[in-house]
Amino acid sequence: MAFFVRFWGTRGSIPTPGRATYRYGGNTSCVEIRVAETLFICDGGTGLRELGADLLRRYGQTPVVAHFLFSHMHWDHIQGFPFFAPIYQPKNTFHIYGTRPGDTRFHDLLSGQMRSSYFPVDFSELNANIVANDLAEDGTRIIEGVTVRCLAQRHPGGSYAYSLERDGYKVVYATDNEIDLILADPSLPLREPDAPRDIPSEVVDFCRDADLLIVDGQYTDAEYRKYTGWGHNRATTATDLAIAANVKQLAIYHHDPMQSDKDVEAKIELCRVRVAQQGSSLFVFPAREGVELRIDY
Amino acid sequence: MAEPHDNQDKPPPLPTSLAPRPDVPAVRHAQLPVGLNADPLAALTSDNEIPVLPVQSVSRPCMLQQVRGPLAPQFIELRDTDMVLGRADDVDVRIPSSALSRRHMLIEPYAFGHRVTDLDSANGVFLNEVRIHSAVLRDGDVLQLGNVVLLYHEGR
Repeated sequence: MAFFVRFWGTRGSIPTPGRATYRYGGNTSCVEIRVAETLFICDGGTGLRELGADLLRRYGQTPVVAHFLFSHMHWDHIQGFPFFAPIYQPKNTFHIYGTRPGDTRFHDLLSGQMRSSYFPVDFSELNANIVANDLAEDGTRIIEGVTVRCLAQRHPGGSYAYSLERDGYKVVYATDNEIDLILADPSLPLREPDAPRDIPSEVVDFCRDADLLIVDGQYTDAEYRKYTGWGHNRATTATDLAIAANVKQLAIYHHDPMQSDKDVEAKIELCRVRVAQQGSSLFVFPAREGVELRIDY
Repeated sequence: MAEPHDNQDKPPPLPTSLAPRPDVPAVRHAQLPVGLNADPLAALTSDNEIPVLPVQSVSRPCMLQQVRGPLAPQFIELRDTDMVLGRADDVDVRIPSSALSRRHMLIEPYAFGHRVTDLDSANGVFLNEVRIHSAVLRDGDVLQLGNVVLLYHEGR
């Protein structure tokens, strides 16, 4: 059963429209993952608005049922939700997952951004059926045949990565994580920038053998020196993670808002050099708005 | 690996008219279309070397520039309706390459440009080296389908 993965928003922190970001996109985090008829939506940044318009076109009168997996509730991951047109249609159902039984934090926080002080339509006035759902105690749940797992990440306020598996295929969505702070030796990248970084086994195992890893790679090594502690990876550390986990394809995601298209391409080139240095066959590419991948090749 | 510039010494005949015709699936140009990489200064200078400003801008449609594979080099004008590219006789853009599937790729209008979708082809569609299922194209994108390489030019 093929996975279809489409990027609707790849930018981190804040929308960045304009010519400088035309190729890779200026909308914030949103990825659609389809497995047969099951629809997952990873994060609801501003890219979600265009996904909503596309779903209306694709589904027509057919009800839309989707499963939202939010990494966390920072603005760049939720701002598209009030503009997601399908939530205004009574025929549709959207599940908002917490990461443990009875966890309704994400559902509750989403409703908070739609209070009248922030937005003219209150959450309670949405016509669609918005369901507060959850994962099991071990952070796992099988949703329509797809095994979903979550992993707590290092980010201010906390965040979660998700893996989705079915029929031997695996896609991991892991954004807003600062692995660099939890390396066995955090100072190693400064002393020996080219040395492979010792990433905690818990993180590596979570990504192990993924066909596609979508991962926060916001900063170059040079940028990271200025933004240590802001909650995002060096793209080179994300690359080391993918190599260590035997990932097939790595999509560098959550591009810094200060990075132009050329900057993003230069960042990816640094990752490719690193792959070559380590003798890996990993394929690294920049996540790009409007691109859809099929995971069964 | 793509074979370089097949049939480069045999450009296809120029169409008698560049206007869309119902019996011609896709408009092809063997030469540079107007407005594409033309020397802008040439149009701004009159015979007596006095600069002359153009009175209207030149518009041109979106194009795929085929730079490798059979029939290359050529420009393929993209219409505002769906087009199928492949090696079958009945597709809109036929390129006689055994590396192409009969119906290889759909090209459809999307927003102000185009979106391409792999029609379950055997050899796939690669966008800037990434194997894709579909993608919204941007100016300068490189598509590779087997030994066929296409460069996308946005219209204006």
